[in-house]
Amino acid sequence: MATEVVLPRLGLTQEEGTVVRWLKVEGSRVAKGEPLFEVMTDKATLEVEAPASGVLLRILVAEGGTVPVATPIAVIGEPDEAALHSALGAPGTGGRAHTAGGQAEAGRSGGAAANADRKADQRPIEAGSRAEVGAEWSQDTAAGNGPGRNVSAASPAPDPTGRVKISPRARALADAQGVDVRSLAGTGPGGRVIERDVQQAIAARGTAPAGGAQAPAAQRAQAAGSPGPQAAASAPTAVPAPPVRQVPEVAAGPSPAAAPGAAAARMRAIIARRMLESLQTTAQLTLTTEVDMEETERLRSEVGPELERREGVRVTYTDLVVRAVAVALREHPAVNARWEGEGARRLPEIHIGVAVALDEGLVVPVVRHADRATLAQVSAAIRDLSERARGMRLRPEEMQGSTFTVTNLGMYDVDAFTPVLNPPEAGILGVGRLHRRPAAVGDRVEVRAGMVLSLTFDHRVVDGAPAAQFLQRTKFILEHPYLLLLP
Amino acid sequence: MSRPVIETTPAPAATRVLTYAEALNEALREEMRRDPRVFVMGEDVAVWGGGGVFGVTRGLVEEFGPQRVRDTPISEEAIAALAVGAAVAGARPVAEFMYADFMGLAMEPIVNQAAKIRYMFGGKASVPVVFRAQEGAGRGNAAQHSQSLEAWFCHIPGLKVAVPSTPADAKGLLVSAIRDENPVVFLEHKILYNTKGPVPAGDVAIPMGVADCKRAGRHATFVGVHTMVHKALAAAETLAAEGIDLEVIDPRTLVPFDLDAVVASVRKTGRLVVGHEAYERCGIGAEIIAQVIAAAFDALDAPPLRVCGENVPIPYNARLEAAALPQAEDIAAAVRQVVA
Repeated sequence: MATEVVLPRLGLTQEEGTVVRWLKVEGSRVAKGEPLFEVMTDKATLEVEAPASGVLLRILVAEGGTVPVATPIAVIGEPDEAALHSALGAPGTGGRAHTAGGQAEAGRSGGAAANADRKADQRPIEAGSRAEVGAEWSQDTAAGNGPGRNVSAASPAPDPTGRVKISPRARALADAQGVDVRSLAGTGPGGRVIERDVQQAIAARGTAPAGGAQAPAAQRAQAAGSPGPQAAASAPTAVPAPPVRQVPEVAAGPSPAAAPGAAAARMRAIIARRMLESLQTTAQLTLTTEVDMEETERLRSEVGPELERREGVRVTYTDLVVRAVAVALREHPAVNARWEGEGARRLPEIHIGVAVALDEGLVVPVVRHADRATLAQVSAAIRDLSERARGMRLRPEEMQGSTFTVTNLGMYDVDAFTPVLNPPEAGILGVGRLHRRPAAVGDRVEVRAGMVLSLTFDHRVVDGAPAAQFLQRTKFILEHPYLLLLP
Repeated sequence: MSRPVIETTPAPAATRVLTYAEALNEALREEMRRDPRVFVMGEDVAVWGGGGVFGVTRGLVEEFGPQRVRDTPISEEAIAALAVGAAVAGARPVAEFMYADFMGLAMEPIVNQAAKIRYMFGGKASVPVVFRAQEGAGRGNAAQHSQSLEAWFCHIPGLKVAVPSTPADAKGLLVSAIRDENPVVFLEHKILYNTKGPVPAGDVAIPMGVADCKRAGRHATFVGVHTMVHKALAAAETLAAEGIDLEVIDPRTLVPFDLDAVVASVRKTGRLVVGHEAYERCGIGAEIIAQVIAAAFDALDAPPLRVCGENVPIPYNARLEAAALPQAEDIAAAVRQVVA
């Protein structure tokens, strides 16, 4: 039975992904668990392993193609199906049929094979599979196995915009009958939706609930999001592979569509969508407060070297703020919450997102359980995450699940600003520049270290007074920073 | 090499079974009897072998005399140019080219004179000439005597192009071509000359630009030229055993082209295969497919395919020649592909 490889859902909020590179060529043999392709999700590129062993019969989505989660992107078949496929691809008994379009695509195989070798020892993630859809496909193939059937010519390159591959006749019928073509599984050559698919959908109306055919696939794809086992290194590598499975975006590839520019454009699109969503769907506003940082500076100068000597970490002001926020959130759980349609829900755990600026855009890796971690642990986690973020080597799950975000523009001499909420969080704290300025101490003026904190919160979730109390508590902790050392 | 004899339906009372060559001969004879302006000219049409290398003009010189059945020098340009001049002067010449392959030598009078005179003289002159020639492969006549060159003439505004595939069509279309006030390139197929079929007796003209459905079907439409009509009918029998019902449309004239008939068929079947012996590249098949896509894109359920001659000089060797030509099994394979 043929197995359909679908675009896996690698993150909870992932809606679509881009096939960056195929590591196998059509017709080559793949083993279950072997790296099969690279996919770019919201903000990372990952290798995905084959869900089944067999022959890669067809690649349905070319390199650079972006498709929704759970979309079939390739077919892996059994050996007899491979033989059938081979026979179908042959010209047949003197077959001389040519498409109006002409040439079958070829030639990308060499580069992809080389990449397969180079990437063979990186850990893959298992793709979801839709075996029953694959069965449909193989039945269809068996029904039409005439000599000379020109499979290669009948596999037009998938459209990178993710449009439905459908014959004009089928589209006209679907339009006339009000059939959603995106819900159809094409049984024509190359997975094309043809007239009979629309006719079957029309005939099936009333016998199945709308959308029922899609849901199981989506569930499976979501379930397949967990990391798979380490792939065995099967080929010598001239270039040492990175220790993690993400592929740097700057890696030279054979596909122009998967170039770094595409990654940046894609990240831009995601940021654009999420930021607009944030401003259009929440009731956010910003409070600011000035924090005296003399004591925090002193703590850092006195405890910092000791931590560096004993724990090997260099504590930054961001680390201190993240730890202070986590402690304050524990005491003000109303801010560690989210709006869930009917009401606000407080979240049981505190995970702090830390915004990291990249050339391509912005990512927000997450420090888990920051309220339970020591200052040294928070510091080490932030350093690790931000370094890997700059190499585009974060896993999607490392950028998900934050309950509150800290963003720092102080290094650019920004005093205060209005951070935009990172949905679905209810709060984000902006850190302004730390600098020495005149300050009133009692009745005297002293030059002291200070900075401004800017708290944006979702007024649907929390009101101004509790939000202000949280900000006030954060300010208090930073002005009495030895509290940061308590468990 | 044996020539295929293609039998079609039994002849009704008013028809006789004739060969393609006999049907053409009858058309010439009847038109020459009907209209004294009609005359025949060409290489060896009168004396040698008794009526042309394929016998199409057999017996004409005996009936109509050497003034109206004229042997010419071996000069295609002279044949064409003399015919154009005679037509402008009021005669209705039927000029024969022994092989369409050599019409390249006659392109100036055909393309620059015959096709344009009526237009350039504002309709004050017309060129009622028929340029007859035979084309096609299948006799081991090699690369210079086997080509199908109808696309050359279809490309030129001002020329009509007829490509009959049966004796009845050959007679009826030749009658229409002779009566037409405009130049007609009348392309016969050398393999078809000895094929037989019912031909209506008497004065039956088939109008230019009307396609003929040679076989009705539901699943795919085949549009083919000359021998491809017959090969498609053979393929249709094979396909019928597989449950595929092929419709075979014979356009009969390529200019004018009966697009309406083809579109109506494609609207029914959703699938189109076009076939010709002529080289695939820039062949009339590409033109037909382009017109169908423009007219009926939303009717297509699969990409239209072509089944054509290979883009190579046609080999002399019989097996290589057969390999270079589209065969019935190629049509069947293409049809299976579009209905997949």
